[in-house]
Amino acid sequence: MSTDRLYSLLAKKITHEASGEELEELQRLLDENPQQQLLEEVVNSLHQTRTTFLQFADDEQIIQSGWQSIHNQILAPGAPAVMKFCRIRHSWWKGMAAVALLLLGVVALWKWMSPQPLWQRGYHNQISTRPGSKSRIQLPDGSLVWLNVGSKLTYADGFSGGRRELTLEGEAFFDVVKDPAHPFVIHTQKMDVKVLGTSFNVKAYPEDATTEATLFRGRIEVTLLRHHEQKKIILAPRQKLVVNNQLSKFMDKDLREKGLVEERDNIQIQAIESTLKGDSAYTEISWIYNRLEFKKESFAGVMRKMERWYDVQINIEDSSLNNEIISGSLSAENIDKALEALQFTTHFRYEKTPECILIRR
Amino acid sequence: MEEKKYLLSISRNSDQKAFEWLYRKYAMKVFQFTYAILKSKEAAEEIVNDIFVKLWQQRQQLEEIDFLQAYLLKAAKNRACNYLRLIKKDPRIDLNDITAEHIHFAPSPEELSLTKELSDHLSQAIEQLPPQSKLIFKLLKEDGLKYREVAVLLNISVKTVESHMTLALRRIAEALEHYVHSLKMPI
Repeated sequence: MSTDRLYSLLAKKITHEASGEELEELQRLLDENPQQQLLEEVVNSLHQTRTTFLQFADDEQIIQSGWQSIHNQILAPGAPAVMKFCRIRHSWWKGMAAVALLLLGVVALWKWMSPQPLWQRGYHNQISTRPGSKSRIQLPDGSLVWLNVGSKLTYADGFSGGRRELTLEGEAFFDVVKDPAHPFVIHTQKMDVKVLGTSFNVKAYPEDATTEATLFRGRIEVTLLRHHEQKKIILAPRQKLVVNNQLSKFMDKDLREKGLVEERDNIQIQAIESTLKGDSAYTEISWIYNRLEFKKESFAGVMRKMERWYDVQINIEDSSLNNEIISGSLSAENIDKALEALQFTTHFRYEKTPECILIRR
Repeated sequence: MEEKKYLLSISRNSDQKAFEWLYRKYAMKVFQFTYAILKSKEAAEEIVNDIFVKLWQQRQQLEEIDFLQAYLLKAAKNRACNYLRLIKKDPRIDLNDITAEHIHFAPSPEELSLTKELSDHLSQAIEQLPPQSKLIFKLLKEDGLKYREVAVLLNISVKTVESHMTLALRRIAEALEHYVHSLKMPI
């Protein structure tokens, strides 16, 4: 009897339907239970389900074509104020046809103008997030992608037909559906990541100092893209590969020829650490959980992250601030609160102008 | 809040980008709900289209809407009823008629931290709920509606909403129990 009660209380807890008394009762029952340790573990993993835990296979197609249609209608001058069903159906198709024609034209022109590598041809699905907003996408093969702020993902039309390749500019977390026959490849400016079925994070903002791949489960193969050679690295779970974007510019030219910089200075494999159980505790993917985290990062790097996160422009006027190292975790709802929090650890003042935020000592 | 900022920008500056943001945030929820009632993809798409075009035309009043999601779902319900009347069906929403095959359960990022098995157990429990319970569970837990709001939206009593939620909770409890038992199996 009491175990039934225990599970029904657990169910209430994870759906956030439990009252305060019920939560206390649950704790009491857990303490009495012989399988306490096992159950505590389950409870702890459930504890991480903080917000909604339902999401739906959002049919990108419906949303996309729906928007095109609405966009056409709200742009049309003198559109009637009230429309009937039949009328909408009519203009819906007309709009779609116009958009399809336009798309065809653009794609044709684009193909003609740019000699792309083979894997890039025919790309026309593009999903992008504006600074300040994030998105979750289900790819045609069922894999899930969480796209961080100010990022862009493109993939070919025949994605589900076997060619699981996409390009990423920015940051995304991937949970890839297993399909050994069809490797999943992510192209970024500095590296390609090849996957067999796993979850991992790729950070490849062109303006950042580093490009990173962090593996959580499974196995990924990273190919670093150099001027002529390709270097392959296999990552084990809980490892992070960091490639220095800026240094490689020097390296490719003269420093490396002179032997001044070793390859290993440019690439690092680090073990990622977490003090708590569960993926949510890792800094690398804190963004999925709506936290902006940084561990021993430069002030300038953190400001760049905040610019994208809050969709603002930040100018650091005192360059001595740039290389200060800071760590922290922010779940602040706006840029003011975030900056105020940072002022506790780093000494700086800020001023908001209509165009940007100025940072001074 | 971010949404308030966008709403202001739409109503005052006719900001189409902000409107697209709004559309992308709510269109799928409105679609899911309408589809569950009408069981027709085309009709649901038309209603979504209709609602958002209307919303744009009345953008000056956007600032006055407090709970946009509830407002949009209510609009969807009214239009769905009109549609049923148009095709000469009973315009009242019949709970027994609700479909939910278009609504799927998938773990959210938060849930990635659960073990795969546990999240599979939970997904299955929700996937296998009767369509009405699934829709009600979604409206309550995903869309964040209150019991009373769901009752009004579907023309049912709060008691009925509660009993659907009780069923969902029972299924989740069973799934948890099943999962814990599977852990105790000797390897």
